[in-house]
Amino acid sequence: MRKVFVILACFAFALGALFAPAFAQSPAIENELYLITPVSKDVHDPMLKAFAAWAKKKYGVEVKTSAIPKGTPVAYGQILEWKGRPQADVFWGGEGTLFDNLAAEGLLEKVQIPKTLWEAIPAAIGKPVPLPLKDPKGFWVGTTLEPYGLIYQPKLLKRLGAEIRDWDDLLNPKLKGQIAQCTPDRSSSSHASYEVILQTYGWEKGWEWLKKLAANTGIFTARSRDVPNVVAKGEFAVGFAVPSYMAFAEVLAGYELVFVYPKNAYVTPEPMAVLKGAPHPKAAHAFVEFCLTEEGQLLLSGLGVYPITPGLKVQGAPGSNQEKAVAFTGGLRSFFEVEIGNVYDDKIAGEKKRIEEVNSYFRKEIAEKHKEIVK
Amino acid sequence: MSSAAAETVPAGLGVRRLGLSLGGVLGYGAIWAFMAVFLIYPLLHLFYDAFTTEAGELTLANFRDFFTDRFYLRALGNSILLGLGTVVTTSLIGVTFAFLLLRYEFPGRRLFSYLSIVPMIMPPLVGVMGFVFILGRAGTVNILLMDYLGFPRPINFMYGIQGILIVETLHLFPLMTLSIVDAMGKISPSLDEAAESVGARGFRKFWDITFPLTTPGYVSGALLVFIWTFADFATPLVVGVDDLLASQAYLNIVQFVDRRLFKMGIVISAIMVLLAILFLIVAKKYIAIKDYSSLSYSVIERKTLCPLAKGGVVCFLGLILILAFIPYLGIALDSFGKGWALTPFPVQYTLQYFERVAFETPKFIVNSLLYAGISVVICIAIGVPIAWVGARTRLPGREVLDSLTTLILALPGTGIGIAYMRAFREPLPGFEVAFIGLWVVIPVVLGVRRLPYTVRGTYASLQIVHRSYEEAGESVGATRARTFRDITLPLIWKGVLVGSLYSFILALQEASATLLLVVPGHEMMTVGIFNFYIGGSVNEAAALGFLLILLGAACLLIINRLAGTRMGGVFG
Amino acid sequence: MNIDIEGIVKRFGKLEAVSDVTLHIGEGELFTLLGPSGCGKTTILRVVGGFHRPDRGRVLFGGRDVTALPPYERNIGMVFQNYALWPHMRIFDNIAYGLRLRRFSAAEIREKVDRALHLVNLRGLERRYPGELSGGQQQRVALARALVLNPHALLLDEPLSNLDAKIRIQVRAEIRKLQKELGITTLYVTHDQEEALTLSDRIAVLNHGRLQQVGTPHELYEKPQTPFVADFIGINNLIPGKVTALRDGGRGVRVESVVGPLEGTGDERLAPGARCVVCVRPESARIGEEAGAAVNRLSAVVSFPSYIGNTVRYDVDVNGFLFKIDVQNPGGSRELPPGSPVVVCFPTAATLVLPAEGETAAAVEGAE
Repeated sequence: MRKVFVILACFAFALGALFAPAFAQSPAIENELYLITPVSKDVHDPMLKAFAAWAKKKYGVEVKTSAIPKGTPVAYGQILEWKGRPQADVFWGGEGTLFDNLAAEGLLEKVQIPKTLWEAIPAAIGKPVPLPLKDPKGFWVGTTLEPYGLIYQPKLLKRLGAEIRDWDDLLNPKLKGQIAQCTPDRSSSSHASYEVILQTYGWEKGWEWLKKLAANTGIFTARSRDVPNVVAKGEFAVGFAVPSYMAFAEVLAGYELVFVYPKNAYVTPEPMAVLKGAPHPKAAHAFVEFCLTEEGQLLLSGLGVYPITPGLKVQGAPGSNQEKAVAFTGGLRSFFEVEIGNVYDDKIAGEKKRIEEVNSYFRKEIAEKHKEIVK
Repeated sequence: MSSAAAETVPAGLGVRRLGLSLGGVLGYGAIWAFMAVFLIYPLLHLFYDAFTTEAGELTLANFRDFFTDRFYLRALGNSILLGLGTVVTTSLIGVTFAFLLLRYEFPGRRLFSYLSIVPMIMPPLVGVMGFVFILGRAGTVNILLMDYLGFPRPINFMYGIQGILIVETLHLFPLMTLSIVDAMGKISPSLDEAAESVGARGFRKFWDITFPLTTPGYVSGALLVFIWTFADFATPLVVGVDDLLASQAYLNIVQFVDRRLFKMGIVISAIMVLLAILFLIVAKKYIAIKDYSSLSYSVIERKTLCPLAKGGVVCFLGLILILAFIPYLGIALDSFGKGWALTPFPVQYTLQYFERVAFETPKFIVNSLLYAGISVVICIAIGVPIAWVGARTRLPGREVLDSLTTLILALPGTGIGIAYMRAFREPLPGFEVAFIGLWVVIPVVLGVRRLPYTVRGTYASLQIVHRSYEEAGESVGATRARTFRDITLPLIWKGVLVGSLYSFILALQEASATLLLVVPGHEMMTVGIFNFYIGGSVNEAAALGFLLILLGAACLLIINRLAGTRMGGVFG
Repeated sequence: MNIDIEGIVKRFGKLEAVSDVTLHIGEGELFTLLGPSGCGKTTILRVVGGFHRPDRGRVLFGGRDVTALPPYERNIGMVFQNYALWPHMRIFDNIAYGLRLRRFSAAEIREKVDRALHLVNLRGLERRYPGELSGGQQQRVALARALVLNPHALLLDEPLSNLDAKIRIQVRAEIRKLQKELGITTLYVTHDQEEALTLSDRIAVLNHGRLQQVGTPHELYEKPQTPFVADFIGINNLIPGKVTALRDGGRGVRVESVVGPLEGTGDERLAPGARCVVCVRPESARIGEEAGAAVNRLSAVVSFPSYIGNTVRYDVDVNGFLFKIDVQNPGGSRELPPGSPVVVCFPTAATLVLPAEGETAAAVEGAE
């Protein structure tokens, strides 16, 4: 009889552990936080750790953090699939349009952060087309500024006798088979950069240009994060549409890479939002707040991205990561100091139909015919 | 473990003996319930999804879309060709290995026979990463060729279908070796000698007599290799190949934006499962008419080779093993090397990746061991009774159970993962959370995937234990439950344990099904490797992979201690 | 073709399976290796077949040294204990396989296979698979497969041990007939002494890897050289004792045995004072009054009579030694009940005295 009791007790205990997250109660914020994000580990990992320390200081709560790293489209789809019962609290990164869509589906909660932090962020940036940095309705907020540029491995490029300064340098025949890019249907940075080309040259000419790019392309990687990876290793010489921090992470890891910020390249505010029905809503809002504090912004600026408020600049002691980042992107300290060119129009590019059009055109005319294009 | 088995087993008996014993019916019913909920239902759900529209209306349009799409058809063709190609290459290597190791005596034979199993310990993604570090365009080999031998451009070993072929071949040939070793062990050596006595020799004898007799083992080995290659989506993605079915299924599923593509992902998974079932049926038919195994385990005398042939054999085996160990070298170098690019070997070494990994690894390792352990418990609790029912009873439905467990062997991991994802996303009745939101889904899916190994291992052990041992037990007054506990179990536990340890190793390395099902906060090592890799931290992924390889090697060592080097049985 | 085995030694690890065995097998002879399991007989056969390389010694086929040749270059026909028919080939292909290797034309192959099947009375089963045949049929297919190649020698490894008693006798006769017809030199391995006696031209008896005796069935039965042979071939009373006196170079031997003093015939290997074994066949002994004036007379008590139809086998107790006596059943006369005192006697000519050697213990053990 006692045996049975012990077994039952164990079983009850196991069940309790199973559902612990659902019943957990805490005075200030919850002691867990799940992030779903396309922002790579190089950035989300230090941010989560810093947040844990910050929360401990501010609320006296030990927050256990965890991230679900997914590409933008995947993360977006996953949130839709969860149907309002998300297994994550915060969605971070990607394009503003996707966040607008989620808000329209009723899957987001309005961001709750101190008013001063909200208002320090300008509504938009860039000319001739303004790029919104936060949602006027309050469902999402930008966290940082980050260009999608070009990268190369200097030794390998020199050996090939080529140079990279702007978009058209990618079409140099010497670079045949040397370019790495991710497909636009798997990576939002690639997708946005395709749109930059299409909106600069127009649909027909734009695709022609992209086909020439495909002719030089040696690999379509499975994810955008693989692009700086294979270039840093020297497997391929040049990377297309690489978020600045991803390349910078490779530099911090000891690899040699050069970042080029070509004309009118897309700049993302890396939006952040709290999911409706999040298991840990209070911790979620606290995390958004943390990212926008000076502490959070300063940490981000040492990781290869730029502050989203005009008041802050990337700077640090000589030899600090901040100074390395400035050197890496060619001396830029703040996106509010220079004229930012932007042709990417959210109203055109963000249309669901347009996204599918671009993806299916790419799939039919480039992906399926890549072998012929290379010849 | 024993208690679970002992409780369910007398159950089956009762049904047979009395027609109706409550415990028996319940136990047998529980097994069936488990199989119904965790195997049949998800698969049916997958097919349901594939044959309906978003709105739930029956349609064949999805399949029409697949079979009219040039790209998908090419992917289908490529997948089948790649699978067949891998079967051919692994056959050449695996069969040669088995034959040399079994029939000839040469220096280092014991070492070779141990080492030839090792390449199986290779977590997904880690193998291909290791190969790229050594054989990639900027890998050690090409850098040496270009910098020291003046090659103008790198040789493309890896990027393309040839790269996948290399990776899969050198990873999977031990499966073939084990299957053949097992099959050869079961045929009487006198068949071979009879061939020699009528004048057959060397390759002719092998081709006419020895090899045909190993067909059952060979076919099951070939099927496993084929399905494994067929279902692997990670390797192709690393080397930039996406016109394969598994890659397409994975890519279409993990992107959720385009509902149409998502549906196609499900349809592709369903097609993969259907194809796998088809191959299985064909293979089973073939095996069923050709079972030559006799239980004569007399050992054939190993032939001594002339010095030249000895040298040749050692060189051949050594070369293949060196190639097969390339990924280990690559992974080891990359997990310790800092900023390694465009040099043959890293110029700086560091422990920083292990330090970084150490922040999360304890959780990964604990989760890996825990889930793999629970999955083994599930395997034993369900698998031992299934094997027992098959070997010792005439219960209705036991053939179906047997077919179901064999079916699992053929199911592509991606297919199972997707089936679970679709089938369990709504909360089960009486639960707050959906089943796929609970961490138990991971051990359950691992357990189901590894069930066949336990069932087969146990079944084989039970066949060796003659029925008369049990009857003798009963004749002196032991109940059948007691007989099972006191007579049968002590005789079969080793077989069960070896089968379970195999399940354990494979569960540690599993990623194809679990990657799609991982629950946040409950990641295992393989998922950690994937996350690090996806997050761009290749070195950390390598470091974690390195640790997982060590863990796998340790388990293999334990198995070897327990079972000796002959362990083909569980693969047969 | 005759076969010579010269000083063969074969070891498996520490175990010496065959110790220095030399044999000559004559042209067309059916020569049997006989002994209990583990005596090394199969090992010798396999050395002749080329499946084992001897550690020492040579094998000669018709005077040619074949010791180093692999089986497929010896042109031998081998029949295995378990038949070893290839399960994935039809009967026709099983028999034809060796011919195909020798590149005979299809027509020749058909003709030869047909003749071989005719030889073993199995015509009409060409299309079957081995699994569809009975044990006796399989055995004959194995024989046909071996004979079809017209081999120099036929090697048979316990070919009848897997057959039922009745079929065994039938196949045994067929093998003997075939072998005589074809005149093929044959080496035959068996542990069954009856089989060996009925089939063989000559027999070599082996024990523990050592040659015990070579001879015709008659010689082995009538004149065993060692207690082991005396015990292994037929039934014998083996009485341990000690030689007390010799005459005529060992022809006449006096022995002090456990049943009392005995007189018998021996040979020059005996020496006064040596331990020896006295062998008396049960059918050579007499019981009762008609025992007459024989030298060897023993008083005994019947302990157990067994009725075997045409004979009655008595186990009688002589000073604690159980002595077997066969009495031809004269028909109608009643057998003696247990406890009856009797007199046992046997002639000196039928009383064989052998030196004890190391085998005595084993032989006595075997007699129990």
